[in-house]
Amino acid sequence: MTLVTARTGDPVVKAHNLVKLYGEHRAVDGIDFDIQPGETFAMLGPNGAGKSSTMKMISTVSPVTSGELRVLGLDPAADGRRIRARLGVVPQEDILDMALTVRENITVYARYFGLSRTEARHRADELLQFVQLADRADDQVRPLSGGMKRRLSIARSMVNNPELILLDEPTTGLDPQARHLLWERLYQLKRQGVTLLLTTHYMDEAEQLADRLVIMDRGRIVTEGTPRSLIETKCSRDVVELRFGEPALGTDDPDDGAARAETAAAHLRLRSERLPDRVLVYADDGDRALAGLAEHDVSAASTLIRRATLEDVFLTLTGRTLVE
Amino acid sequence: MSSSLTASSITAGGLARILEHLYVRTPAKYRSVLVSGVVSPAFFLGLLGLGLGSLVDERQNGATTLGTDGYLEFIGPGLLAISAVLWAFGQSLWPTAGEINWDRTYVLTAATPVSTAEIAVAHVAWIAIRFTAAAVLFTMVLAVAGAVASWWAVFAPLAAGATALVLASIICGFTVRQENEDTFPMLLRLGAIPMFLFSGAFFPLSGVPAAVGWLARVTPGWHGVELCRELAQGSVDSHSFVHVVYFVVVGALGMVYAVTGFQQALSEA
Ligand SMILES: Nc1ncnc2c1ncn2[C@@H]1O[C@H](COP(=O)(O)OP(=O)(O)OP(=O)(O)O)[C@@H](O)[C@H]1O
Ligand SMILES: [Mg+2]
Repeated sequence: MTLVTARTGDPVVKAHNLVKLYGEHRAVDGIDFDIQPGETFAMLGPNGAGKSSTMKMISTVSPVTSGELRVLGLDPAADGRRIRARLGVVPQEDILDMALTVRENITVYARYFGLSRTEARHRADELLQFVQLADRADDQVRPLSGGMKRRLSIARSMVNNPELILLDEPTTGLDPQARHLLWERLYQLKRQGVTLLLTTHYMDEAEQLADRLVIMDRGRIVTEGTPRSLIETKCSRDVVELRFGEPALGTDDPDDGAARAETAAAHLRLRSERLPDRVLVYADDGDRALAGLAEHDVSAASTLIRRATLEDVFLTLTGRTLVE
Repeated sequence: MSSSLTASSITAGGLARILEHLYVRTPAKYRSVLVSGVVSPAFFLGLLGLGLGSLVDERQNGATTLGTDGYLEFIGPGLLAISAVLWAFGQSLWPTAGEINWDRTYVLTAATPVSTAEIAVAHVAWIAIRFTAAAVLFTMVLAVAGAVASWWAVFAPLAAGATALVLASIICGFTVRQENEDTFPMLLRLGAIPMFLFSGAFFPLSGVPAAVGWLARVTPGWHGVELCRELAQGSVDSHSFVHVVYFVVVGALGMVYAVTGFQQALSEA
């Protein structure tokens, strides 16, 4: 299978001060970003951040309220058809035609892109092979598992050899095995030079797949960079997680433990974040930080030292967690 | 809204692709055409033509007040147009809402090179096309039953199809603007049932209060009934031309209403 990508050097998507209003509600509130050819670009953010709204504007389905948007160098308002002919779209929800078989879901869609019936069938079989659904080609869609439906959606989005594929939460709700299979397929697309734009709630997904990402919150871009650079510049290398369980014999309130940990961290000049069930202490050397906390009489029910993730970056920047 | 309407041109190629998809995905399409085209007219003609008709004919006033030779000739073409009305209501409310809100396949279609305007027009056209196919069979049943008096009747399926098209465009435009399906029963009570009764299919409007008669005359149902009857009887004249103009004008307005509704619904879907 060959996928053609225009390598003009111009950005595949370019947004400047992009705004989407639903009535009075600013779903997307003035964002700037660009996506380069061949790049895998992720939008990370909690529910309602404006990820899907941005995707729908890029796919030309939802009109831009204000600001500038160029997709494949074209204007979505004027050149919708030409843009859509070169895009692949995987919506957040799996929209599949329950009246049709697995293969027909692709062939019917292929016809919209001008493939002949023979070509459509050929292409459908090739794509079903690619997403490992060839043995289900003649089955109805309804009984497919969530992961299979997702794979079928992705296969369908590829019928027209798109230069850019928009994947809105491609792995939400899938079990780890299904996620890894999908990631592997997306890697393969990336190697073939297809530009990918994906949204996700999962920091590990963004870390795995994205060359570059933006973190969105409440319609705005909070920060932008490579996964590594964001963790290095916006956060510390390590994170110490302290959990304060049940107070021993009713003598100690767990809140005291958490409060003491925060004070101790402040003394050690370490940033800390208090969550309902634990305290996070950010440090470049987790072991030393833990030892320092112990010297300040901090005794947690359990402790964990781990590498910082994009989740921590988000928490640091917004004071909130990505997945509640 | 107006800018998006001009930006989204409607092409034959785009319509053909959507209609092909609808053709493939519509379940039991032949059965519904057979039911609407043969089973239901046979049933109603039997019920009304022979039952009610014999009463009307016995009163010896059939020919004078009805303007046709007998009740069968009067009600046959009327039933054809009324079937278009019922079909349009039947297909444009719940099934259309289901397609937009539940199946949601149009959300995907909108992400292909076809335009939202084409989706709207194809959706309405598909309703009318299926009815027109049924209307061909329906007209043949009428001919066999002896309710047709002229070769003009070959155009009756088109007249009935136009009735379905015009009405479907308006009702679909209404449907896609609704938040939920709560308003649908009201539309049936205030729209479908009066149109069913007062389009002049079962009795001439000369018998009803003038206001009701004039109200009926602005509906697609009445124009459909009249045009189908004129074609079946061969009494084609300037009145028939007025019906055609009505269908063209109201159909164009209905389509604009449907297209803008679909654009709104699909851009926010
Ligand atoms: N069609 C719509 N009409 C009105 N408001 C909308 C519509 N679509 C989205 N919104 C609102 O816009 C905001 C952004 O929604 P959006 O779907 O873009 O978020 P998201 O980042 O994709 O969230 P999620 O992770 O839950 O999918 C939300 O507050 C949402 O309620
Ligand atoms: Mg979303």
